Amino acid sequence: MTSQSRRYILGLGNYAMGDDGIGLQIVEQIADRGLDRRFTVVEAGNDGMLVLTYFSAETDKLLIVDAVDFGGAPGEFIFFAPEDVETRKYAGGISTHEGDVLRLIEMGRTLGLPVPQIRILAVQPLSMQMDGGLSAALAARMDDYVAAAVAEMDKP
Amino acid sequence: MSKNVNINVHHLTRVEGHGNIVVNVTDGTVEKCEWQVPEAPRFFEAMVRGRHYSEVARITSRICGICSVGHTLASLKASEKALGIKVSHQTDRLRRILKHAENYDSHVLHVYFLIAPDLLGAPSVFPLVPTHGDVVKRALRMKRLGHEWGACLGGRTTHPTRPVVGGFASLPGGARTVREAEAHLRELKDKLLAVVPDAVETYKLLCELAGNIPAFERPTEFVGLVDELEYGLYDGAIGCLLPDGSLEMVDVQDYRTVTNEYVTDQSTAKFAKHKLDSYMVGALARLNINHARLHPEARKLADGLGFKPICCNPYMNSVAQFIEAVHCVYMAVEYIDELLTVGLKDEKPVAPSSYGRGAGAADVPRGILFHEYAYDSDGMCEMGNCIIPTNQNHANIQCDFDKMVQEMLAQDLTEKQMELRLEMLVRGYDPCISCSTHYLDVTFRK
Repeated sequence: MTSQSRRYILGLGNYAMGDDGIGLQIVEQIADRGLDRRFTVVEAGNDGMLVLTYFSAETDKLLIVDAVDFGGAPGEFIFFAPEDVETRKYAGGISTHEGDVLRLIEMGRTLGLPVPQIRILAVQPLSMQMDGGLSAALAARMDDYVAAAVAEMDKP
Repeated sequence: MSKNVNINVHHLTRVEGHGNIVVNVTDGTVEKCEWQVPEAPRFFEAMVRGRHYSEVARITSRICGICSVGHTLASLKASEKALGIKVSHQTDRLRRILKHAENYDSHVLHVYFLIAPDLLGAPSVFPLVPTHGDVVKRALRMKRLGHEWGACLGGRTTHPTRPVVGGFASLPGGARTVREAEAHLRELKDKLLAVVPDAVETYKLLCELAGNIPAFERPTEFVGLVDELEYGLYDGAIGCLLPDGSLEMVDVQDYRTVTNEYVTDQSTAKFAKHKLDSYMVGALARLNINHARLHPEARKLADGLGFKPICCNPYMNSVAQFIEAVHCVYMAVEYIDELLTVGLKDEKPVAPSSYGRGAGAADVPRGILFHEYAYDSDGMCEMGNCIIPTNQNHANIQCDFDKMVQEMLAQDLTEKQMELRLEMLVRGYDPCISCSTHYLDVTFRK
């Protein structure tokens, strides 16, 4: 994709912390498979602040892909919009180690930044211990996550 | 003096990872004064054993989500030393541009989002949004550049995929042709030059806030890369600068003679020392060592901010980070011009010519780091050793604490004032103590 692209899919997470890396791995798979023809893949990793830098007039749509504890079964995934949920996470400030992307989105609104259409692809994690890989329950569904993310980006 | 103080900061905020500050003073006598790091070991050195040389940098880049470029480059250079590989001039220049992207990106994050709240008297960046919205927006613009800059060279800014042992896996921007790659570099150059007005505004802001930087000095040893080509970040020898101005140069292959790691009861992280009880790494150390090698435009700002080497105030680390960020922008522009003048080539990575042991270093946002590996004749890793910057700073933070607490008691500061001053000191070092998780935890609205 060129830098003029207006639709972005951002993968958040930490590779080294088990299922926390699912968002990053999904967008990596999308890029590796060459499925990013109508949108731009951003491998944001632990840099949640990066999400806010895409709040601009040139951005039409953001899909954030992340591990989310929404009370589902491990590996289950859902889509939602930031306004559909309330955070249960306490974050004392912002660093790449603490911070809450929902709070950052709210910060963007307060700043008066142009907030694009935002959807979140949430994958229920099983383990976020430092074990070097995804749980089997999540790894087995990678194709489903990739297909769902690409289909979401094809929607207006 | 009969003052009692009880400071117990558990998990200091706005630092990367977990660290505690504990100070107990009874009747004016300091009974305990500690910078504690309670993080668990992470075993990366064990993870690389038995892995092929082509996998090692991908693994060790995950030591840090912010300094992953530096870990990648130090890892690659260590492997290349061990494998008898000399990379091309083009690879050297592209890696330098990538290294500059990382330092710029991290410094913008640290100065604006982690340090500015201290200087503006706010507990975090969130309360600054209504009152300093333009500053936050500027910071976000600058940060976006850092990401795009790193992604252009490395494939992505965090855990870059394109740099590999012997060179690069693909051209800048993932281009299929040299011409396309050169267009990506030209586009990047335009973006770099476009950030200059924001850098100038940042400079003005820092000039305004400079008076809020605490006055504290403790002469120490400064350690950082010394590069014949430019300000030491990507390559060079280890420079060890003492307060009297003497500079000792140590070959990177002998890094253990500098780091001298040791364990201490107060921390799960190792401490380090060289000629003195402690040494400092990071932007302030580099600037003290490399001040004469700053790009002229960055030098002007350093002069304007009143920076004079050798500066022994650790709170000035954030000022040094901003000066470095400007240096990185201008140096990247120069390297792009050089590459475009010569013309890019579609190069294949250089293959190993031997198998043995080697060490590599890079000076990342938080300071110099070292990787060392040994490979068997099949190219499989037999041992790894990684020394990160923050571990090298722990002893220096502790020594600063020891001096500062005595000074603050003499100044009769309140417990709250002392606590804030100590927190600001640690944040000034920009410590990166470990990596953590970032998942969301949500409940659906009815």
